[in-house]
Amino acid sequence: MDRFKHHFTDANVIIAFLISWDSAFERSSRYFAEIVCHRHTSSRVYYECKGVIEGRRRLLLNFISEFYNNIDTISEKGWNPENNIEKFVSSYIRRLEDKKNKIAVRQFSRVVMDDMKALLLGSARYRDFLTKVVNSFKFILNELDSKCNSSENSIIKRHDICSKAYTNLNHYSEKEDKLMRIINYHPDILVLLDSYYLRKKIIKDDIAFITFDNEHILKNKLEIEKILPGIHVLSP
Amino acid sequence: MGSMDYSPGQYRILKFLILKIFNIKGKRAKISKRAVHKIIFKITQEATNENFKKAAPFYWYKYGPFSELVETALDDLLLSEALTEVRVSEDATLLALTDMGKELCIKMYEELDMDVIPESEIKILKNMVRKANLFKFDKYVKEIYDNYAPYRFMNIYKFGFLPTFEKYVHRRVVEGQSSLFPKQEIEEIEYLLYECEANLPKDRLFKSFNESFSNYATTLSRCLEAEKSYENLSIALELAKDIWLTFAGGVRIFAHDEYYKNKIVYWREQFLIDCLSLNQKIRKFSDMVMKNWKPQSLKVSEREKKILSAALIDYAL
Repeated sequence: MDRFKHHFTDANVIIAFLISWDSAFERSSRYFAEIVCHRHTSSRVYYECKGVIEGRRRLLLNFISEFYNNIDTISEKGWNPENNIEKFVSSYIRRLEDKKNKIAVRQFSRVVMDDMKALLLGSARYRDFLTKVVNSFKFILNELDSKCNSSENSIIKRHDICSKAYTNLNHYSEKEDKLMRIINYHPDILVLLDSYYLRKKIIKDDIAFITFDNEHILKNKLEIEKILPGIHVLSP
Repeated sequence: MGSMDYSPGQYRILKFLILKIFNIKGKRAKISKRAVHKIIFKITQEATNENFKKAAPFYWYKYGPFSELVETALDDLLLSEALTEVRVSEDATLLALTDMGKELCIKMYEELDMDVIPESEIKILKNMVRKANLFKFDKYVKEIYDNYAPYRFMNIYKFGFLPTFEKYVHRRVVEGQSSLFPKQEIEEIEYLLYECEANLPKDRLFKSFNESFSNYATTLSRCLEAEKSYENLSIALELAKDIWLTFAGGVRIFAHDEYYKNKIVYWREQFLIDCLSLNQKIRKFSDMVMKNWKPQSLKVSEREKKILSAALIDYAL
């Protein structure tokens, strides 16, 4: 990894970096601390990160709002507040379609169990709880924008010049088709093409494409590198 | 209303109801078209008489429940001079009952079969119409939203966030006054904004709308925190109004009587186009705010870190 002066960071790596205090992301924090290089990304990746964070904020705010609006029914279920909360959480999760959202709500409910209990017992204010959650997200969005922006001294330089679509761009559309045959997930293909576009137009040097995505990218490393010469797929 | 059919008999009852509303309110009463829609809607929801319940099919739109048939009936009654338009200001006209309209109302009632609308139902109708206070009509509309709006988001947005934010922008930008309690005021706007986000519809069709709304919420928060962002505040208010209009285009797809079933395909197409346009406007606004934005030195507690880890862990792994 050290041999590449330029790295293109995927959204999952950026998000892991933003929450690098968590021991689960040791690999990511070590990568950012130990590897000296120029880090780049595209505005598409930046908006993906922003969209993921905001999407989770929407989900968790909805979760606590539904909890609060059904508090009378929830508290009637039995004498044990924790059991009552657990029943609500399970029923809320059952109604979610997205598996990742289910995991996020489950984890979140464990972290805020005391806050939910206090709400249920009437010893805390819903508004304060909501504000606390909103402030957490304000922090992480602030982190995203301060670490990933278009200024030259940004930790991850965001490039806003990549094409919105590559279908009508000579040379790129053919690569897009080839990538589609192996990856079959268009959003990831566009991100890979962003890195290739930057390599050609701006960086003019080989690029390490850093990602945690095994399902679409890491496991197709050899084919991707064949289609996009100069792009080297690596995990942090 | 559970049927796509609408008979001439139902239309006659609708016209009678409209005239009766004016009649009950008194000869001097001047009523807006919008108010007639709301009163008729409430009658269709709360009347015990089946013929009143089926008087007009509705869908939820920009100003709440709206009926194309009420609109047509009002135009018919104006054309036949049973109602007349009264200009009350440069840009507002209200409707009033004419003598001809009063006679028509009596005639229509005489022609109606007593089994269709018995005398006792007229008494109930009178009570319902009298309760609609035309001088405090906003309160009446709010009650309709509280009891019948299909999404909780609508009440919080229309009666909480939007007026609070509008008042704030008007005072800061138009009157140039600063607030005595700026922090509390901004906290209140932000609370309402995020309470709206918490109550966005979950239907898949709203996916793009919801994403745009969240981008707007993040950007507006930053805009409120930044000092002297007056110009941005005015743009933010215009966008807030746009958000409501776009949402209204989506809500009718889900909240409508069967009568409008044939319109859904068109409404859906229109909604997706409007969402795309809203998305572009909000992104432009966000880029503009971010140009002058400086990272803040925010602190995060251990607890908040845990909240964030829980929220994002699966995405990053």
